[in-house]
Amino acid sequence: MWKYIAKRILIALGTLFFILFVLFILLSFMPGSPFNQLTLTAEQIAVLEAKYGLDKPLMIRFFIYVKNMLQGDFGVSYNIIADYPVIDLIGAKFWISAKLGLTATVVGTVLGLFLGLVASIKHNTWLDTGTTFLSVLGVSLPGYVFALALSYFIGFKMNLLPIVYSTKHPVSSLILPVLSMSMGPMAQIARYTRTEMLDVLGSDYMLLARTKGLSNRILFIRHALKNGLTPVITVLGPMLVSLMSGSMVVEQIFSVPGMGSLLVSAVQTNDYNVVLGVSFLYSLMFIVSMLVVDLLYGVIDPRISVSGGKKE
Amino acid sequence: MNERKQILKIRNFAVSFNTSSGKLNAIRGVNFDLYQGETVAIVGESGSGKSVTVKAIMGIMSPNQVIDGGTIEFTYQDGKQGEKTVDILKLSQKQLRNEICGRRIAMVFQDPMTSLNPTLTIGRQLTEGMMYHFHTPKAEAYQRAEELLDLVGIHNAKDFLKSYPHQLSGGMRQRVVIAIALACNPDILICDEPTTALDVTIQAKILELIQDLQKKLNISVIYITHDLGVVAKVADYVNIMYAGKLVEKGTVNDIFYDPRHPYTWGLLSSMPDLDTLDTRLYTIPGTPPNLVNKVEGDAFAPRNPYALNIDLRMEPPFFKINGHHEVASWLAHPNAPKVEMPAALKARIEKMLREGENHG
Repeated sequence: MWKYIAKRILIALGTLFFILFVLFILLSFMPGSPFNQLTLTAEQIAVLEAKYGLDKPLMIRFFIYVKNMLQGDFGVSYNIIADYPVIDLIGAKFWISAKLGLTATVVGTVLGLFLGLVASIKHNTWLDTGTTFLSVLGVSLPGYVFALALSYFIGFKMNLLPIVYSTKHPVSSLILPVLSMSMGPMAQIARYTRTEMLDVLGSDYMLLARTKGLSNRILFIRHALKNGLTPVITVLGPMLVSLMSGSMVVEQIFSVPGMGSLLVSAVQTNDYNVVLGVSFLYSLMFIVSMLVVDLLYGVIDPRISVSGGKKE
Repeated sequence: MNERKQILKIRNFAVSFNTSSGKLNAIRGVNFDLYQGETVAIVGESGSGKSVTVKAIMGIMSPNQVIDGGTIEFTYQDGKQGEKTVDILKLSQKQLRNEICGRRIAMVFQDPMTSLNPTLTIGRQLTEGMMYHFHTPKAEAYQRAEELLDLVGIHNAKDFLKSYPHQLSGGMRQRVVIAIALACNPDILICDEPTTALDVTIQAKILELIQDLQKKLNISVIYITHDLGVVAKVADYVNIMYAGKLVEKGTVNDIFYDPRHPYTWGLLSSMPDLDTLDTRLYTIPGTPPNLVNKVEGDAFAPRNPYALNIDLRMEPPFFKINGHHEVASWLAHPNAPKVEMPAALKARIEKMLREGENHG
């Protein structure tokens, strides 16, 4: 088990290193430089590039970056806030995106599980049809459609909730963004849960369990749920990360100062260090969530042994 | 022989399914009897209604299934009230669960690879029935589980109880499934093609095991199968089923040595045999009728080379051949023309009889 985890962490580190390298090269291909204001003269630009070490060859820059990174220094921003450490810049934006994403995931998962379970238990009734319709809607419509609809009807027409994020009302002004972001995950989880549960409920072992004369509650909780929900965990990890790393469009619509807007402006202004920092964080989150999901799988489903099936 | 005690009595049982193409009459009036300690096999092609019949005994029905009539009377010893007879079709789901399923009637399914829950330990799956029905304390239930596994040929099973189904082979799993079925000391064990999914070497062992257990525990067994080899090995009585009706019933000897229904002839002829000179395996021509359509006369008539005119118009009743052998075919009517079974089959039976005399 621990050997497996150690192996996975090593692979993760390798992957991260590789991602950084590819990003570094790709960023160097981007047109322009961080300093492309028209007022700057060629000499001024050269001075600025020398100041940030951008005049050195690509490979040297990469190794300097990695060396600093290993010491916890992700460099400074060039443009967004000049000379401001990237780590602090991300830190300020990350928590709001994380809070938004985490809440949206929890809301979406709870609603999705509920709808999926209802649909599977009441298979082929109007409840099933209704939830299927809802989830098709949720999967096919992008989050910003919900965002626009919600902000127009609930925020603007009915004036029930703020349509713009404000630090004065951190809870109420997050309700609409959370709702619009949780629609997609809700639909996806509902569909997944329904399919998996129908599969399980129609299985031979459920029939055998029924012939034991157990109560419906035991049948459902002990025999069906665990088997039906295990696959749902697989989609949960990546979903959480993609929501936590910020939905650019939804954040834009509700003016939430999150990671989404940070990344967009960093890319637009060639703020290399910020782009690298944000991407590094995203990759790290994805890799960690995959690892957690794989480990969870091993705990929940005895058929999956994470240590590589050496037993027996 | 002591007096036989009847524990299951099915009368005029009829079932239909609502399908997109109309009402499908899957079971069209079945009478079936089971006596204590005996084994009855129900033999028939896929779709003849074998499984539907036995599942109904346990109250398991599909959502689109309709009971059109009949009774399933089950007689059992109730701890408080002594002997008791109930009509299973009239019981509520709750009564069925608490009194019948698992506790007095248990079932073994066809495919042991899929009939165990992959996420629960063997011990848990073995004990949960007892713990639910009898509130057996956990330690005692696990003790009993170990005994049950010993009974089905898995010895020193303490560690075994902690393992999961995926760690066992198919034969082992079927033993576990049988042990689960026996957990609450049922009166009736229903085996729905218990060996079809196992490989041949394991098949015989599992059949012997079930026979052995039956003698030890004095339970009654219903076998569902399309394998006449299995029937010859295990059954006391045989019911041949075709298109939702029983067409012939009798003892194993009646069916194998003195078959009367042309369908039974067909089934017996299509058993592979090493000694036949014919290099082709006999098959019954045609396919079973679509039960969405109304069946006129004998359902087997269109496939029956010996069919009489009346077979196409009137449904044959059961004719008694002797005290325990009945056949639903007009050929058994006293006025019917004398029709012999196919010569090849006759030769085969005579050979079997001679061999029986020589060896027996």
